[in-house]
Amino acid sequence: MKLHNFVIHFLLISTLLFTANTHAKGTYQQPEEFISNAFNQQAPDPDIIWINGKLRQNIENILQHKYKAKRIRYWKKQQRSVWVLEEIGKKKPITVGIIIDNNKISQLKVLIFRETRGWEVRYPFFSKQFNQLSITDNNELNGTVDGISGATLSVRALTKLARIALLLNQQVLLTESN
Amino acid sequence: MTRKRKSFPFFLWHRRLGLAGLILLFVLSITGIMLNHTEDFELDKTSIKSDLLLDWYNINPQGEPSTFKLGNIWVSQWNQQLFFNGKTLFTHAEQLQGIAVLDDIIAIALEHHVLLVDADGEIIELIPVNTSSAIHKVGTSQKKIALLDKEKNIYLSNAQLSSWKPESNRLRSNWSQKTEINETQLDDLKTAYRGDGLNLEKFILDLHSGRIFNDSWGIYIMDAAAILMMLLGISGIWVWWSRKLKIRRKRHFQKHH
Repeated sequence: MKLHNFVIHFLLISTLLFTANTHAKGTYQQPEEFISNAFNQQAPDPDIIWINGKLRQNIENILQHKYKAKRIRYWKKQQRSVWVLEEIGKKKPITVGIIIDNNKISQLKVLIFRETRGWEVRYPFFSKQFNQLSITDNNELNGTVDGISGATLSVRALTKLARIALLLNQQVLLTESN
Repeated sequence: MTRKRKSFPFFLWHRRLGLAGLILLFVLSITGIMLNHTEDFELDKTSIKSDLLLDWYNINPQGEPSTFKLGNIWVSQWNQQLFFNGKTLFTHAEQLQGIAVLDDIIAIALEHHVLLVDADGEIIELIPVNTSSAIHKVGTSQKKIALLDKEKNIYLSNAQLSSWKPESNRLRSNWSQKTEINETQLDDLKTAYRGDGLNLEKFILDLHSGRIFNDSWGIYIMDAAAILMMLLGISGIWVWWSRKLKIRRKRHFQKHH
């Protein structure tokens, strides 16, 4: 009887673990759909920001590694800008969609997660922490984001992307005002 | 006579073991020292160029490269690795479909992405393109980059090359075509492909562990060398001790007889 119980428990735990792992990786939302939803299905054409000089330096300081691309696309209408950015968590890139309204994040969402660990960052309980955050003069977030044990690298990647999106948004506004 | 027969073969075996294991012991020691100073020797930063070693590791691209040329620019793909004028550019699982050039920007079409690079081969951006089927060809039309998907739908870029939209009008476009490369270019690709494939640290580590011989049983060769080293120590002590005993007995015999 005890062995029977053990086998059932083992199978249940294995199934749960397997299910958790299969849910870990995946495309939660297509970037195009995220962008379209952000503008009520009327997304504008993408604009471009070139990454050079001080801006590149600031981005690389945040990322703590070289940034390969020379430009980044973004979508902007009035005070809302939408960014789809990628950063490697542990080994593979995490694609994140970020909506910024009036210099503050109004939504951060993991769109594609390719890693096998750290997928908890996709849950709203975590991503909602970024809402209403903005960037300081030191290119830091003006609020704290609580980490998730076992998902440190993913949390770090998302925090970096949030800072970069806010920095880029700031740069766009600066360019527009000039 | 009997004593001589016993001690001499053991001493001989000690010598034989020593000679047999000498090369392996040298390899173990030298590679061990090198691995202790990986950073000083910059082992991890040194790429191995030797064809012999690279062949030994099977760091060779499979099949033939796919190449597209436009003027002085040639872009190739070999086993997911993209090359720009013979230099490694980017790795992507999607197949290369062609290249087009517009205002010093080179659009490299993959199946669902367009990779933009500048004339120096620096990456500008990798753009996902939402076509109804995989991209089949790329070309220029109306001073824009045109894409043709496998269902023969045409998509035209905007002026900034940041998005593509379906084009209902029939367009005349010079779709890029696959081309052959010469032997020198093929060698350039091979060198570039292999370039980062094997560093000296990996080679020294494999030599030290024995994995250079074989992934599964290679380690046992070095295990054997390590055991040999221990046996040599034991047999050395044995030879020294038995000689000492022999001399002592001899002196004792001479003293009392």
